[in-house]
Amino acid sequence: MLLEVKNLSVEYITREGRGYAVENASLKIGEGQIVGLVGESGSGKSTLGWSIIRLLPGNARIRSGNILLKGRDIIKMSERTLNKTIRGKEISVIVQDPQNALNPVFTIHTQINDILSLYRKRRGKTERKEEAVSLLTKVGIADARRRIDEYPYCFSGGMKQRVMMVMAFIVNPSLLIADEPTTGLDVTVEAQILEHLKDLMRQYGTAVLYITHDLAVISEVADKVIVMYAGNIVEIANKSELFDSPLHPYTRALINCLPRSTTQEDQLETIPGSVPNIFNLPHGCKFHPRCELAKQICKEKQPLLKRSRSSSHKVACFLV
Amino acid sequence: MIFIFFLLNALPGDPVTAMAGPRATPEMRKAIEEKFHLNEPVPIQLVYFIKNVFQGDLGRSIWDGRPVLELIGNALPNTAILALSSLFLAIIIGIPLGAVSAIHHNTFTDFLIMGLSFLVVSIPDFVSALLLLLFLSVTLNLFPVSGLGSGILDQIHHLILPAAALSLPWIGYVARVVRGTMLDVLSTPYIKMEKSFGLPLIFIWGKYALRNAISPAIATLGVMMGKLLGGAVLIEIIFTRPGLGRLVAESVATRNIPVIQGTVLVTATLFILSNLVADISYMFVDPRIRYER
Amino acid sequence: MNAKKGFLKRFEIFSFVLSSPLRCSGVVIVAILLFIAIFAPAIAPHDPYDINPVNRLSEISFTHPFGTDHLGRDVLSRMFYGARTALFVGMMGVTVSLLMGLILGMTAAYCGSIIDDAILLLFDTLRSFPTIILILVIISVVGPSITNIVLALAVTFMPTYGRAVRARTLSVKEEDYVKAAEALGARKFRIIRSHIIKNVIGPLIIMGGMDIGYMITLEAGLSFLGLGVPPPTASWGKMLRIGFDYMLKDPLLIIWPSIALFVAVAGFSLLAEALRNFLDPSVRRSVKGSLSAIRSQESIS
Repeated sequence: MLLEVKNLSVEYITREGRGYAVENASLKIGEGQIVGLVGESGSGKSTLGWSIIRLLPGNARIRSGNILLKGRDIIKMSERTLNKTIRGKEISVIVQDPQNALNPVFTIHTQINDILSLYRKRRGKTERKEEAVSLLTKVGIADARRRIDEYPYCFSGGMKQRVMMVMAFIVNPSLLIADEPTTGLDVTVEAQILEHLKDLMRQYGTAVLYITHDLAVISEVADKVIVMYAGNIVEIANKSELFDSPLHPYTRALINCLPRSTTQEDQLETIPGSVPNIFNLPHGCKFHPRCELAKQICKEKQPLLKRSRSSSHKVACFLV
Repeated sequence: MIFIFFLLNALPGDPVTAMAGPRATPEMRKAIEEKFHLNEPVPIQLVYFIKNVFQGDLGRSIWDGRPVLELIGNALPNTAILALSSLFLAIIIGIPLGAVSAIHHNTFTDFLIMGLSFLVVSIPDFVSALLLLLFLSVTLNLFPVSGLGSGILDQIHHLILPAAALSLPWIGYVARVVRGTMLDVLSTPYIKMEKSFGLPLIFIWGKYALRNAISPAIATLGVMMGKLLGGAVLIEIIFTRPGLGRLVAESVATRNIPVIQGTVLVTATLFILSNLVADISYMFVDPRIRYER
Repeated sequence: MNAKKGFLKRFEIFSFVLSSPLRCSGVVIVAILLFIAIFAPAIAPHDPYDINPVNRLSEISFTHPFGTDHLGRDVLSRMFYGARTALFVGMMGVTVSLLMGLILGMTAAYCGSIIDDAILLLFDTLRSFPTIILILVIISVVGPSITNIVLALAVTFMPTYGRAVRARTLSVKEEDYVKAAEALGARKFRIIRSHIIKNVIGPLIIMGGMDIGYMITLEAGLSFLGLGVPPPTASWGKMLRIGFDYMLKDPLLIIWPSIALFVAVAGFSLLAEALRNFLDPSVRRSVKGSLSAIRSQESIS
């Protein structure tokens, strides 16, 4: 098992109060597996993703849990070891907003080169530049040789995203954490990016934790899907299982919300209510205020993730 | 800003006319009148005349008749050295301090550095000059009390105290500015990304973060340079260094009009120039601005 | 309703100030200084102008807690009176400067075209000189006296404030509520002025507050050079000068005014910073870090 997260809890401390963004989350990612992490904003999915590499904002604390990468516990590692052995080497990240992901005062070349020189110590300057150019060309950046010496603001959003992918894959990571990489991009660009991503994944055999709120993208890319709500993992299943027979009311509602081209409907479905504020979480099952099936027990106790139907399908609900 | 350049030429004429009037003694008045043709009806003509004269000749000092240009020429390098060394100190000490403070945000180091910065910024430069002079020169006899010194090493020896006093408040100021910008930079997404790629932290701080943090600091440094060139007055007097500031102060005290005119013109020009230089270097550091221009 | 708002606001100020020792000290220091300055005649142990050559440069003693200066005057008393000078110059200087800047800035913004250009020209011209130089020149023309110093300082700082006021007025002028007032046929100057002034004054006061310390420094510098307040008025700057001249004989003379200056500048800075934090709720960084941000922005423009 490549990555195992056990009972992870992350708390945010702010002036307005303290709250758990992630509570008791457990998941597994196998080698080369593409796992989609789905949830609305505020579900804790990004926090979960960034916790794996321990790059959380200053006011976040990992309160409990283990994160085992190939058996080694990331939480117990020192920052130094983490930086040297894990970040960029075993695990890489690509983020949502390409506008802000690249340092604006350095050329693309400089930025790629710095990573290259870190990991390709024996190669010379020209060799590294050649490699950089070829990597960029592979992801579809035209005229890479000339453009590599430009600054990030000369690049479009999609291109910046591609540059980021190149940088993330230079080191041949075992796991890529993709935090909403295509949100905010045009649909056509999104499709291209996903293609490139899939290519890279196939080429390097990288496992991916694809974090997004867009179920549609998940249905294209993922092997396994994890659904999160308000800090809890509420359902885990294979892609086909999830879309064919979603068990948790939240998952069902999410799937219902997807606009369908096949049926003629006037209104888009929505889920009533809104995602709770982490400082003010409901008792018991966090989804109960918005769940039409909610019973008394849902208000009192928190359901735990347990197996249902098949061994790969888990759900956290009393009513299934 | 360049527009102000031309303005400069017009201005010194103004106070001079006022000065030549009520302040000068009768003999002086006559001399001045003759020299500058003040008996001409319109004072504006005076300005034009002086403007032409400025083609190279800045007039002569009233007291000893030496050309003002020469006086300034002698004084300027001293001031420049002082100013540059202070600038140097401010950069070398201030920027790293600010960066360290930001990196160790909210720890004891941070508070210590910021506390010291506040202290130093609140003490006027000549006060710290006096105190330094008192303790290090007079009492402990570590540094010479006045003058420029001869020979490179001795000159540096003489330079240390005044440069330190002059730069102290700026060090504090720069440290605070850099701390502010660094804090901003350190919380940006791209720094986070660079961390995620496994780049060593010191590298990230030194190269990436600093580069981003410096650009606002450059503006400050430009202003600093300008102020230094004009403002070293008190320090120069305290340490008896013959420089531009002291020249201005002395000439004001003695009503040496041509000298005042000349020095004010030069100082103001340098001031504007250094602001311009700061603007331009801003352009180089942050490539985004290049294209906006 | 307005009365209630005012009352609550005072409450806020108190709790805000007391919440941090730094802010507290700023207010306390300034309060003490003001007290000293105002009641100097009452609390000074001796007459600061009392020249007593017999007693020159005496040591610290019971009658003269800080010793005497080269003319036998009591240093402590001169310190108190020096506070008067410093605070007067500093606060008046800033106030006058703010007023000038306010009037000119608003006029420039409101009248536009030629008047605007003329005023801007004035501002830019003044700003093209280094501060100290400008003040020196002005003083040398008009002669040193407290009023002149205050005026000189005011004129020197006026462009900065004036530009800020102008910019702010220009933007506020275009705001909807001003246009609404205009549309309702409000007498242009009266009612609109009260709208605009309210918006412009806030940041202005903060800028001014931070400059009080600087002005005090400048006054001291001028006095040090002999171009400041005329004798026999006491000034910390002059005391420093005396200390400098007599450095070898009585080193302590330098220390007292140094401390005074430091305390004054620090106090006003803290006060200004506290004021700024109070009026701007987004205080994310620690108290000491943010002062510079405003300064650097000001000096660039």
